[in-house]
Amino acid sequence: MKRSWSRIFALTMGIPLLLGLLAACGSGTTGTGSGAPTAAGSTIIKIASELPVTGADESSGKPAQDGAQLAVTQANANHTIQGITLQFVPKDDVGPSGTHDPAQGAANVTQLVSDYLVAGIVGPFNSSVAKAEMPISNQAPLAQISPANTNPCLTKDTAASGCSGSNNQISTLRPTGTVNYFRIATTDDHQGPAGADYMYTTLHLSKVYVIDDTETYGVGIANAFVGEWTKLGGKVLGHSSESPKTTSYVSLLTQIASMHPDAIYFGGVDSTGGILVRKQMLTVPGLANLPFGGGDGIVTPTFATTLQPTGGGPVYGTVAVVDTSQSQTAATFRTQYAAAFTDPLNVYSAAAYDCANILIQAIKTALANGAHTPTSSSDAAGGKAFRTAVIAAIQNINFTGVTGHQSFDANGDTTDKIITIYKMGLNSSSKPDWLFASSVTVQ
Amino acid sequence: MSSRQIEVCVAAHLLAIWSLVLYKSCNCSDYSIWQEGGDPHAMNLTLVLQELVIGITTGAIYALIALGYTMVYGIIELINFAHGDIFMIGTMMCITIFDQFGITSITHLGGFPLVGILLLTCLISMLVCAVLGVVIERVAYRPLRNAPRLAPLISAIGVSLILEDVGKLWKGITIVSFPQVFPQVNYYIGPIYITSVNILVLAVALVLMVGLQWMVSSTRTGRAMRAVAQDREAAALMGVNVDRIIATTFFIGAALAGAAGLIYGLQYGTTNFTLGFFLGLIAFTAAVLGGIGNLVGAMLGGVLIGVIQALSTLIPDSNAGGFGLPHGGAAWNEAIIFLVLILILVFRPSGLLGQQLPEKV
Repeated sequence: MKRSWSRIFALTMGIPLLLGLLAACGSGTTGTGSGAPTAAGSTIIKIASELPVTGADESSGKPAQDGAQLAVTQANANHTIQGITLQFVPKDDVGPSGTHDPAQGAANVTQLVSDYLVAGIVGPFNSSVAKAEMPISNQAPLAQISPANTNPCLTKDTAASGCSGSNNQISTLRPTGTVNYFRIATTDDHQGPAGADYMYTTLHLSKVYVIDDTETYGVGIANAFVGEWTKLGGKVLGHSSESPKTTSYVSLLTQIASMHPDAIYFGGVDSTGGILVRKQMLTVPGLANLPFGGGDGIVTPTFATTLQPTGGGPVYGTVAVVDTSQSQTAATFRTQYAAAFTDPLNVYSAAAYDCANILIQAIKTALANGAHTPTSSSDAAGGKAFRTAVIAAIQNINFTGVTGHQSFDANGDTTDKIITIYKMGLNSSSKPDWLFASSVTVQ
Repeated sequence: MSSRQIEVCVAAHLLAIWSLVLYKSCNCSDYSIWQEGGDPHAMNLTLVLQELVIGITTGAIYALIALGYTMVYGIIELINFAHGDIFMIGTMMCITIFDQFGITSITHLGGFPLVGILLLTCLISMLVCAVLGVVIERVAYRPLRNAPRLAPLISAIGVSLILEDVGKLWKGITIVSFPQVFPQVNYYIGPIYITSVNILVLAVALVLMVGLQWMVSSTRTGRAMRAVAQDREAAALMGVNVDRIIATTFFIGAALAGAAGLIYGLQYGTTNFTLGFFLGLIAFTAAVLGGIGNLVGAMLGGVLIGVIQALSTLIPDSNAGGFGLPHGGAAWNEAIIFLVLILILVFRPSGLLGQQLPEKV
């Protein structure tokens, strides 16, 4: 989640305000497992969400929690699982700093793990929080399905993302060696190739100059872009790495202009050169109207508000989400969501809705395969057996939801790798924004 | 020739040789490379000259900021680390003034209103920065004037950090857009172009530098400043109000940073609260390169660093094969700048135009 950078920074401003909010939000539902513990097992099963829903993260996390809650409410209304009532347990990982907090996330998961009626967790939202939670849920084991984590290192050993060899985190995150963490968000390592596909195949650009910001995310995405671009048959005129502290790119851009590129691709985030490069392109003859591309690091409100009004060439950015604001298949979901909640829908609402539904379907499958629900919140043996059966069911799931057809590979990553392309422009209320341009399915 | 002339001569020759090496290392052709159809891989003389234009304009901004460092050092031997941040506050002040006039990135002004607004913005920004500079001197440096040398240095770093946070509170943590009120027109001289903004930057910088030079060398205040710089106690005995002269120095130095804030914004179009740190470092380097305490040295140092930075971009990318540095020269320009600085200081510890100051006891 590269975008969490800007969030992290944004937060430092609002801390005092948030302290009050936090105090009010400390006491959530803590379920006591009152569900008639009979010999046959509890008729109440809990589905938890573990997302940042207050403070500075409210606008990203709360609509996701609402999506998960909608799935649980609907399952109960439709009696999706015969004889079982699902109980929704929302947890908030916003910490004292007013933003998502790995320590708070870990505490939440520890609490959820100790309640054996909890069959699985929808979340977390941020990759940093996932790193703190995964070792705990893995040892329990308790299923986690994230609607939003895009850091490849959580599940894979990838050199391009800087987590191969000694930086490999898998043994820490997955101590038992068995996968219990799944995600339906496409990982960041597919953004570069998807951007290259779109710019080469759809926009018919062939000569590109690549600039990266020397940081892990920027270099990774730029290298992946260059690899795909070359494979497609495009020409890379040059690839330069510029310190994120650079204040003037004019000299470099002047040199680039003399090579007559069709586009410039930037690997990095808005504040490490994304905004500056695009802004200074306007002052260099030959580059003012050139297409500019990048990853989700540039798809930020700041980038749009700073650069949309000044004109220039088109700007494209890739984001590892399925944009359900456009698709026909999500129309029903959007209507149901709007009827149930006042929080504005975001791209993670549908993702969390699907995560919860995958969990519900897995519970149903586990029961059909002969698993028994635990007898109570403190039934450790029964709880472990049931949770293990649910995890096995998720691993083998075939689910079609509003975000598409979901199933998981051996690492727990979705096989439905969709990258959405956004283009900078004016939204319906004439404000600078990122508009849905296309979606690319990564093979 | 005096030794100083020899050194200026050597520096000029180094620059010329550098340009020649770059010129020779390429396949040179003389048609305009900015038009479609030009040989895209010819790193030709046009590009070298074009980078020179960019370097000189960037250097002019560095020079304006460097003057503030060198003036303060010259008079009280303090490295005013807060100076870069005063410049940053200047860029933000300009944005606020433009906001007050309702000017945004898409406002098109021309003729008299444009000149009037630019002039007014420049003056207000200079005044605000100048007052800020004087206040900082009064609060953070004057009480420590007779304290051990490290004390004011630390308070300078402290003020620098405080100003960064003020900038953060004022305009937020993200990059802030600077309205491009001055329309860009490209004037071609053969295949080389210079933009209207470049010309404005150079004009403002030149006027201010000439004005400053005249003030220091030909006015009563200037003479008092030189006297205080030479020997504070003797100057005081001669009836110079030392506190007032030091405050004046801060006033002028910070005012130049305020003007630099405006032209930086017009040239690059963005600012943010951390800008002062990096530009301050470069400008401080320029001041040392030119000979700290020496006004002409700071101007020369600023322009030289701008030019080195721009020309180093032309070092080819060794990843593409052949001679060069990985990822091209632009990725290494800070290392190159400081390498040049070290080389110059090894052979000329007091900087290019630095004078040996009389020993202080």
